[in-house]
Amino acid sequence: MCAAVGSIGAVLFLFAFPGGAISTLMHAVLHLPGPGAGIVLVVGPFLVLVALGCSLLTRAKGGALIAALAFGLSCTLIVRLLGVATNPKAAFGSLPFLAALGLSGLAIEAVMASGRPKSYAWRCVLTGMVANAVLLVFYWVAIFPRTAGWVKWQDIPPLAGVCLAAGLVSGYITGMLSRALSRILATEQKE
Amino acid sequence: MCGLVDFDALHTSITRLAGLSVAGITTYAVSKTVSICRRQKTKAEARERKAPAKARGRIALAESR
Repeated sequence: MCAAVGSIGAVLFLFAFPGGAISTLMHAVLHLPGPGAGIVLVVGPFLVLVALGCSLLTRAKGGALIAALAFGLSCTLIVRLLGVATNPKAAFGSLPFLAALGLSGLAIEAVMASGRPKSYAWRCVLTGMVANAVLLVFYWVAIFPRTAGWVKWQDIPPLAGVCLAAGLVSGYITGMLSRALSRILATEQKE
Repeated sequence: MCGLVDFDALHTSITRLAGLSVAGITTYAVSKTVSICRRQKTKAEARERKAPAKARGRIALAESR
């Protein structure tokens, strides 16, 4: 189930964001500094939606990690086999990309398993923020130096702020959507 | 500036996102309508099942008087 959700997420992601779209939106339209703006505003929140949503809906241990890895593997397969054009800066379909998604999935698992904070909404918010931050830091340290260069010191505070805000919003939205969906599914099962 | 700039890709992306949103909203609306219809049908059936039983009860009461 989680692997299927991750794969569908990858197909939707590659369909909705063709190569160069995210970079153009971030740097030419929104004039955000880079590298990393597309990761924190699009890739990270999308991954939180898929992996955290899967974990909350199935309540299976390791669900978020499986969904995140399935997302990465499907992206890799689609990019390699179908030759879908992506931005080389983000290294979609490479081993470091898979590692970044796996680490982000692990971060979601760790926060959800810790059971803190007790409040469901706050836990979702914290999970979104941590997952997005882990993804950004990994990209800054392991991927961008090879593809786009090191991030400038003065760009780190605004990008970190955007990262936390985007993680907060995506975590909250995922939590509320998952709660509504599980209610709908429970009602359907009763009927 | 950081990374490649491709406004055609951005245009395609916005169009596809709009299409996906419309598809999602339509699917949700259809599933909600089906769910409401099914619930009302179940309620109506339950009411029909209860009605003859009530009528039988009233007749029995009238006969006993």
